[in-house]
Amino acid sequence: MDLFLAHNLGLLWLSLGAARRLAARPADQLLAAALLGWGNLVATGLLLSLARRLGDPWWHLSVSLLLGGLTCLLVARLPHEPADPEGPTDRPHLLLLIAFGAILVALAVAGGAIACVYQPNNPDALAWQVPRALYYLGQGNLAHFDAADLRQTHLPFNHSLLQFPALVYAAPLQCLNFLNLTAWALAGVGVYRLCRLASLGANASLVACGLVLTATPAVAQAVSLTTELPAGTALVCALVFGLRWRRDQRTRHAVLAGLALGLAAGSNLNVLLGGVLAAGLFFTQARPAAPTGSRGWVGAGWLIGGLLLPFALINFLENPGWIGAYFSFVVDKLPDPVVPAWLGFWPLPATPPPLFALNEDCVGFGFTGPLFLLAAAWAVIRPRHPAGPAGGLAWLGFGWFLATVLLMWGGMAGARDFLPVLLVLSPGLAALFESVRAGRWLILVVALAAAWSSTIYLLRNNDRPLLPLLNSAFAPPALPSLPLLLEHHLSRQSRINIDTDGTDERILPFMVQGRHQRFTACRETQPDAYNLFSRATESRNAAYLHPARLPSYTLIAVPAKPTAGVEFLGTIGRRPAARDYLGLGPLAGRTAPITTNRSVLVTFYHEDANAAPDRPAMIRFRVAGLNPEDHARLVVLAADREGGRVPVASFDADGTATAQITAPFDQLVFRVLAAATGAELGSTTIAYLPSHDQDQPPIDPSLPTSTSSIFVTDVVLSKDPRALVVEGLLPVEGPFPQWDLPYLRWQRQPASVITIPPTRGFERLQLAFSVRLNVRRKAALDVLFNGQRVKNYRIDDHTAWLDQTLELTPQPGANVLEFRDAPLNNEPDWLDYLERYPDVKKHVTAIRVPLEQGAREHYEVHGRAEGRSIRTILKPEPAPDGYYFMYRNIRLEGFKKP
Amino acid sequence: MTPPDNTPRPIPLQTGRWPAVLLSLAVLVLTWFSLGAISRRDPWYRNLDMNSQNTADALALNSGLSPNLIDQPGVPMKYLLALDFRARHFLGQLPVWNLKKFGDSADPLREIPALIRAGRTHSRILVMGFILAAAALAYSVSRRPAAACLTVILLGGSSGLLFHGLLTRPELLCVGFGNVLALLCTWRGTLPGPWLRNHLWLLLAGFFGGLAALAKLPGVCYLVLGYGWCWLAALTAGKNAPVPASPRAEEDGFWRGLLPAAAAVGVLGLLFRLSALQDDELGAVAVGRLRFAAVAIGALPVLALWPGRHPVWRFLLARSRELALLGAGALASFPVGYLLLRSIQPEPAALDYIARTLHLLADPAAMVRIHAANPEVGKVFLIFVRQDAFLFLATPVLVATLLFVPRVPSRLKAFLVLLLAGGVGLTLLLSKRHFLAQYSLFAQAPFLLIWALGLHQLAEWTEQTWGPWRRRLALVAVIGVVASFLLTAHRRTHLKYTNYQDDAMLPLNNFSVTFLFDHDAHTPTYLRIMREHYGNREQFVRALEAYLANPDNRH
Repeated sequence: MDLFLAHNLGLLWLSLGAARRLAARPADQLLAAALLGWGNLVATGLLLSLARRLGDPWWHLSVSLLLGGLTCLLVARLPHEPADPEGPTDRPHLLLLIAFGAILVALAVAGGAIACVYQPNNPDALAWQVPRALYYLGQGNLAHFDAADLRQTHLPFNHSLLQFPALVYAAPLQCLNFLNLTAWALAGVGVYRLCRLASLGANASLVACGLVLTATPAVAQAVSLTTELPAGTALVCALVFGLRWRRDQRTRHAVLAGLALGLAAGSNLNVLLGGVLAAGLFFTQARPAAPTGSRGWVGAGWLIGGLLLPFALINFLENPGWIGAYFSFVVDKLPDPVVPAWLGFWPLPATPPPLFALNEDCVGFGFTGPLFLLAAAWAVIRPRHPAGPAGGLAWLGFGWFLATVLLMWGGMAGARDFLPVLLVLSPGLAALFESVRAGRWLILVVALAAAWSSTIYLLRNNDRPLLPLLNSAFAPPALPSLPLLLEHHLSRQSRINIDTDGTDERILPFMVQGRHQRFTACRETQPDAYNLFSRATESRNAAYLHPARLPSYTLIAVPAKPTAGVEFLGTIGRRPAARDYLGLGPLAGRTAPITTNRSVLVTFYHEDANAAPDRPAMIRFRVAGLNPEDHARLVVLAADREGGRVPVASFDADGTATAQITAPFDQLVFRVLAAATGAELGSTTIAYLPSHDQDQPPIDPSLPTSTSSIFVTDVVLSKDPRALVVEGLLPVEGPFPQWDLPYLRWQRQPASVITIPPTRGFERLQLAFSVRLNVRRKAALDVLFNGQRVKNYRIDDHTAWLDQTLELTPQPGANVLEFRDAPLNNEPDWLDYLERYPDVKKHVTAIRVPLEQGAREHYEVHGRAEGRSIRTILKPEPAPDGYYFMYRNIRLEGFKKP
Repeated sequence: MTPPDNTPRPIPLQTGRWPAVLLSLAVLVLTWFSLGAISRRDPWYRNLDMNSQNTADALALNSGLSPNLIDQPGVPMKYLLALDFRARHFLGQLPVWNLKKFGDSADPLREIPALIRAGRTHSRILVMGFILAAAALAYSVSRRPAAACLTVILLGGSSGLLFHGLLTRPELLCVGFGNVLALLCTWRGTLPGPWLRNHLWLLLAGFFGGLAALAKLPGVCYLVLGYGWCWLAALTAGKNAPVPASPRAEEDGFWRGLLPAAAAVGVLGLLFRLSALQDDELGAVAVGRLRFAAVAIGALPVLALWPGRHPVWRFLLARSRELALLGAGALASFPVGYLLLRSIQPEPAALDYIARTLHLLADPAAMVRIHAANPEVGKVFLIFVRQDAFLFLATPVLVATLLFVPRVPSRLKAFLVLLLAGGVGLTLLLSKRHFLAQYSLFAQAPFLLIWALGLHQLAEWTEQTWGPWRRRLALVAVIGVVASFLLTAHRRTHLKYTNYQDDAMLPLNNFSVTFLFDHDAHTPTYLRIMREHYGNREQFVRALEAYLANPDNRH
């Protein structure tokens, strides 16, 4: 965080210092400084990518500040810009200024509060924006990585490069929110300057600025992480400096316009379209007849190329047909926008059933959108067409709007895609305000309505509401929480490789569990990293001929596996969108296994998903968790109905293989065999056709390990073991790294009871538990099943975990498992002594001493000599404050008959 | 920023003024020997709490360890004491200068008196430096050597100041850095002159303010005092302040803000080092506050982007720049303090010490809870007043009188009001917490500075308005009062010193034994050394009694 702040401070000064030489007005200086700062970060990212040093904070800091210093030195040679000819005479009306100022400052403060508290949690940020940047930093360059979501690799990356400083220095994720908030403020400045440069009055410019900044999509994007607002702001800057060049013909303005255009177009494909239109319109219509500073456009052209070409070049090198691939991805894989374009410009609320989520993807423009379109139409068709830039910009905005609607068929473009259009249309609105006096009040009413809508949005949106922050100190969690086991594993790793086949998958929460972690996305197992596998729950043990032709995965339980394998970590979401997460630890071949990770993961993909079912099957198998140190071989066989089996592929270690199965088959058999003896260590099958036999619904469907298991749950680690009745265990606590304790549950009474409800076909129960003492030095534990003592454990080391696995046979109906504190020491049973010798009891009662004391004294003085006997009983070790045992897992797996 | 010069021109030292100079030199010498005499006759085990803790901490610093308990910053004091021990050792005057030597000694107890005596001498030197710095401040303000001499004479009679020459406590440096040096630099920084010189003076003022805070927590208030002077100086500067007009001048004005930005980057760099090694020591609240301060100070001069035309805006812009410079200087004192520690300590120890110090400075809530607020502030304030009744009653009268004297420059009037407000304000603040006799320095130093500057102004005024006899009579009266003040200084200091802590009786009380042997404020190394040499506490007490049985070992 400190390096991040220092970097930003340095960049702020260097950018402002350079901008002061390039422009005279403070507003222009601000815009120029923002462009220089962004351009600096993009150039830094591109240079470091060439050197494969993207994730190195010191390189990032040094190169960026060096570039900033060089820019300062370069522009220091330029002469000062003369004072701006725009005089100070035309100023906004004081009341208007106060009204809009108050509204905008209030919105900015609210936005700042939201940005400070919530981590970026809009769908784009969770699914591809931040993960993309983290993957780039993890691999050290801007090359493509193995991503199923093509937005992570195929889109322009200038906006990702802008996020790098926050991520490379491991600053809090909230810092990313300030990118859009800053862009929102700069958009206001830019729109005002654009209107002023279009020869519009200060009042009209201020109204246009206020309307743009209070438009609900603008406010919504100001507090989230999207590309449309920053790219649109850069486009406005390009127009501002383009108009400056048109007026003054100074090279510096052309270069700044080129820089802005390169940044805008290199951030968002839609803005790329707008940029092309703007450039075309500018050079055909708005260019002065005899420009004297045209040389500047050569530099601008170089800048635009420099900022756009790397993205295009990488895409063409990595995937020559990337345009088609990406278009297919958008059409086939991504959901349609919640609020399509036409709905976004419909002023009245149109709530899509059944539930209307309120976030930046779902808000329309309200009355602002139609007003801007009306103003543009007015500017375009009115008889006395304005010769100034306002008319041209209205043409541009209107044309861009229509082009986007036509190119993307309207329904595929969301309302948020049109925010940059709104920025470009703002001078048209200002012109309308200035020309049609009768409509001024209407425009001001729309402005007030927009401000009201924005306030409501900020207060009550679903993802980042302001209301909880005002009402209490409690802020709702921004990112969805993960299952405990996932958090536990991910938070301890320094390198994590994510292998996912999910599109639009919210992967960011998996990437924020620890500090100073590096992430890669590779479909091959990375031995020195923690490998996280993400698979659709629907594809778990899915048949080969699944209707959706999903990739299918299965876990092969290998109980005798000598090294760590794949561990099932949990399921997130609900079917059909639910996803399973599995993990394989670093250096698994040299790590001893635990109860839950003695498994091998096999995923197979249809290589030609569109092939007819009767064609030979081309299948790619991906194996994980099979280590060479296992000395085992995984054999894949295609079995027919007659019992014939044809070997398809075999693996001695993790890897990928593609095989063709020419003959019809009934099922795929996966067998793990010992390399030396050929003995079967584990096996499973995948059917060719989906089975319609519905198994018993599992109690907890999140942890299956074997085809014969009917339920698996962990009373400690599972998030929702509600099907079991657990008594005597406290809620989950931890982890406590300072005491080297994981997530755990305390038993603070002598016995804890777990009741398993009646389960059909329940034949065998495997109980695995890990228990430890903490306060007591030693103790004993009885495990009872249905009232019968199964085993007694004596625990003499209070710092060691006792890991045990028991095989139990359940009874029909409910089954009761009990962990009970057991007696530890032998001691005389004095009450029994008194019961057996009534004369002694009579004597003790007569002398009125406590019974046990009297019995002991009698035995020591007389009883021993008289030959009386005593019996001993076992006495439990007292547990201070009732801290009996702590459990780090109690895993119950029920099996049916194989 | 650069108001027109309405302060008097400096007057060179003239032959007729040599008696004053000689007298002030004599006072300095007298003060030195007076303190020496008290110290020589005083048993070394009086005031053992702070003396022994600071001595042990200085030894720890020289051993590459950080102090164990930080209940107040004390960084400059311990650092200078550690340097003093080093210098004396290498000059052959002090056999023990670090804990290794201390542990190697056959009888470490016998080394402690020498160390404490060295510490007292060190404090005496600092008192002399304090007086000379205050004289420099008086000279800068009045441009009259006589005012500087009068400052030396008056401070030579300040029991609150001299008291600190007899023991090792951080208050001396706190007031010296804050009330004297920081104000001196702020004064110089607000005089007309080249911008770079003024900026550097203000940065230095902030730096001394930061050092005052690093010496003791209330030192932060001197930054407020310094910034208050920036406002007063600007308000009393007149209305014809120069206005930069050319783009070049505005461009320069922008780049002047780089000094605060550099200081902010320095603090962020220090925080980065601390976060890598000592995250827990600093604490999230302190880190957040320091980061906010660094970013705010570093970005504040960016306001120069909007030079504006309205005079109020320009005035506020100049004040914001001064605030940035003072804040930057204060922030710079943290990394500089770390670098100074680093010069005598390995990195982990220096980081640990500076982290815990910054935690105390930036998040003092825990310490404030310990020193619970005193509900009877007025009552405690009256104890201060009773102790220095003349100063507390007569100084406001003097300031009020001077406010009505037309010949006194308004800038000086403002400065005197600021000094008075500072003295009273800090006394109130200390009354809010806990009254302790050693804190009277916080009031005496500014009040005596007021007297030195005020008497001089009164003398100049009487020269023009009073007749010779009346003037001579007044002069005799003043000389009489000052002489009596000076001549009673020794007795007042001795009385204050002996009354402060009555622990000079034998056998030593448990409190002193604890500080010598097993107080948890000491580093584990010190405690181990004492245990290894003397066993348990009872054995140590026997060894101590045997040692102190010889009267030669008591002084």
